[in-house]
Amino acid sequence: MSTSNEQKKVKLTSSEGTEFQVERSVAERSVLLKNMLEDVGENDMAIPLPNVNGPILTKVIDYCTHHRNDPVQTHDDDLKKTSEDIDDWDAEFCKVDQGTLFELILAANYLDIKPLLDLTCKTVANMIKNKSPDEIRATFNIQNDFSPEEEEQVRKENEWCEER
Amino acid sequence: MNLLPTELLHYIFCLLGRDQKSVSYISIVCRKWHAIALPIMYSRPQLTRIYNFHKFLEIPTSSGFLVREIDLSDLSHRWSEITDSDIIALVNLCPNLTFLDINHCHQLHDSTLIHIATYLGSNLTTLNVSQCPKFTDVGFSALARSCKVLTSLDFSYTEITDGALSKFALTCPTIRWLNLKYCELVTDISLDELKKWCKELRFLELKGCFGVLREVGEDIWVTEDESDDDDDDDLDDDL
Repeated sequence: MSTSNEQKKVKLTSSEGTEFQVERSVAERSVLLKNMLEDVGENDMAIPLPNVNGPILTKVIDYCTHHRNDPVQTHDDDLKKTSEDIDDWDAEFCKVDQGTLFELILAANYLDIKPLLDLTCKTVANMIKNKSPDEIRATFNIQNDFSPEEEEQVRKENEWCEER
Repeated sequence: MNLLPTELLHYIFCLLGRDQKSVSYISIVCRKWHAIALPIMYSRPQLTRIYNFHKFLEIPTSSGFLVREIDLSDLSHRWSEITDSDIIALVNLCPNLTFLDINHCHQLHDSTLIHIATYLGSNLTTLNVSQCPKFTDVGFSALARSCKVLTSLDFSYTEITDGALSKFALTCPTIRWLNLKYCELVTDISLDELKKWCKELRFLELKGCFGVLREVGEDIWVTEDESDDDDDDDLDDDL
């Protein structure tokens, strides 16, 4: 399993200009980085990541290091696309404040790390689940921009979903 | 949360897609969420009670356009409660349906099938009218005339005849999956027509088709092995 590639270090620069060194196999969990590394070939230059700050990049590297040996995700996992089935390490990983969680989603999306995107989005989905609209607004600090009449109208249109 | 771009909010809401109640609550949170949640909420509505079905018929026209699949399999009491006017109203409300399952709606007549044919004919790819005993060849023939992109058809336990089925074979060469279980009026004539025109056919259920006299094996399933004289058909019993 120890190819020469795995030992190679890759340099990444966060938005503040902090340099991070990671093993290539860790960096390659990101499809964006994988493609970049393949394109540039042998090169010692740091890859700038202007959309990701240091603390978030640290978390992302944590995740990719833990999951470095995971099999590549296949596309026939639509059935498993529910908001459940999060393992313990991943659940612990997601115990962060909301701001961090949203930044992780953006970073996973930008870096194209599908399993991390799924994990963080599932975590948010679970925060929405089984909450009333008011509770959802309170949880995420969202302004209700419906007028009372409009909200009533939407509720009326949704009546077919209600369990009675 | 609203700092996330729309496509990521959509991605998150889709994870809750099967949880209709959660998605309906999402749609009440704010305008932005409402706009993102509606297509998720309406694309495959799950209707399990007659009350909910009738409430569904009151949704705005704009929402009806979002509906792609209606499967009434989980709707209890549909056998006694769902009438022609219900399905006709549903079809009028949801002109973009590609999937319709109205199995076991015992009270339906040909007028429903004619309406489905007229208004959904060009889009419908999957249709299940199994165990609707009042449908006759008048309705089935109307369907055969209009539905040209069907790939999956369930006529099981109906009174469909060779006449209507032959028309389907001609107009729907796209059929891949066809269930004729206990269609007792179907004979070898239909089989010949299907073999002749429906080259895409991959699954054909003939159990209980007592009018089919051709040797098709002990279990009455047509499989590739058992019908060696019609190689083009590629009939298969594993879906």
